[in-house]
Amino acid sequence: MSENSLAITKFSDLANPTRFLALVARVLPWMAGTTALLFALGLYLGFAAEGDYQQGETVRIMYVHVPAAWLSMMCYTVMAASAIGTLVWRHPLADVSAKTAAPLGAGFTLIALITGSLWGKPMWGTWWVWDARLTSVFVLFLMYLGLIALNRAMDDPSKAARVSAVLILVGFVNIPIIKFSVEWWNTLHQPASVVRLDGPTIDPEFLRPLLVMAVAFTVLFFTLHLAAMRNEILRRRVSAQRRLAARMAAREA
Amino acid sequence: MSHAFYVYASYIVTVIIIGCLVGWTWLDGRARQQELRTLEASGIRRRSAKPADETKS
Repeated sequence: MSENSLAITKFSDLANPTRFLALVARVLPWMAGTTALLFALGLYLGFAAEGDYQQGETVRIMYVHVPAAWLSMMCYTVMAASAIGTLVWRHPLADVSAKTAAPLGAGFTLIALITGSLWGKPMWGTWWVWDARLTSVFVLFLMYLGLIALNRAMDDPSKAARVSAVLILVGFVNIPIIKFSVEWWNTLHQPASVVRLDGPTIDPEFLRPLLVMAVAFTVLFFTLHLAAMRNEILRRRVSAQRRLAARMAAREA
Repeated sequence: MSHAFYVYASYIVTVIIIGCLVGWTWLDGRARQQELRTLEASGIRRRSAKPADETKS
């Protein structure tokens, strides 16, 4: 393969941002279309399914609450993997990935918190309790905000990347705490009913739309993440070219 | 309040937040591409990009 070719034949070729941009331009429309189709299917299944015999109509909140909560943890896991990429391999796109995932993670965590609250009021009789699950997810939300602030507080992108990567990895301890909080402590929040060793305990009537919505949310996340990474690469190019323009202007003067 | 209120409120909140994320990503991308086009129009290119009139060298 010649040096100038933009074909992607192995994973490390993605380290070249120009190749990455060409790939993103090609896959983004397909991913956006898939997201729209999956959401249409998931919402149709979700609203066509009957209400629960105990929870009634409010069971439909599950189709947005649960996928958003899963994504809030998956997004942090993506950031932790990127942080390893930054610290160990100094992959040029790892830092771009971690930086652009944080606002998306904060958005999905906020959805999980608000829809959880709206589900808690009619089912538990309260908007909020400081139990282990709710508190640990709230801490995750604060961590996303802290990471966004930290990354933007430093002018030097490579320094910001390294400091953020360390903090992301330290904060990763919260992810198993969130996942197992409902088993380790006595919480008002119910224990896991889908991802369990003995299989899902919810009826297939509810499980099917839930899984479709979970896949829809996941594809949405990766679509937005790729687009946001492309934007960040373009932002860095713009600032590099502006510096170049300033140098050229200084030389001419 | 009826159960329908909580269901609709949840979906509306989700649509608003996802709408903000999609809108922000979309507008950010358009603004950055516009900036790059403006820079290129003023003759500032990446060092790796060959100018159109110097391809035969």
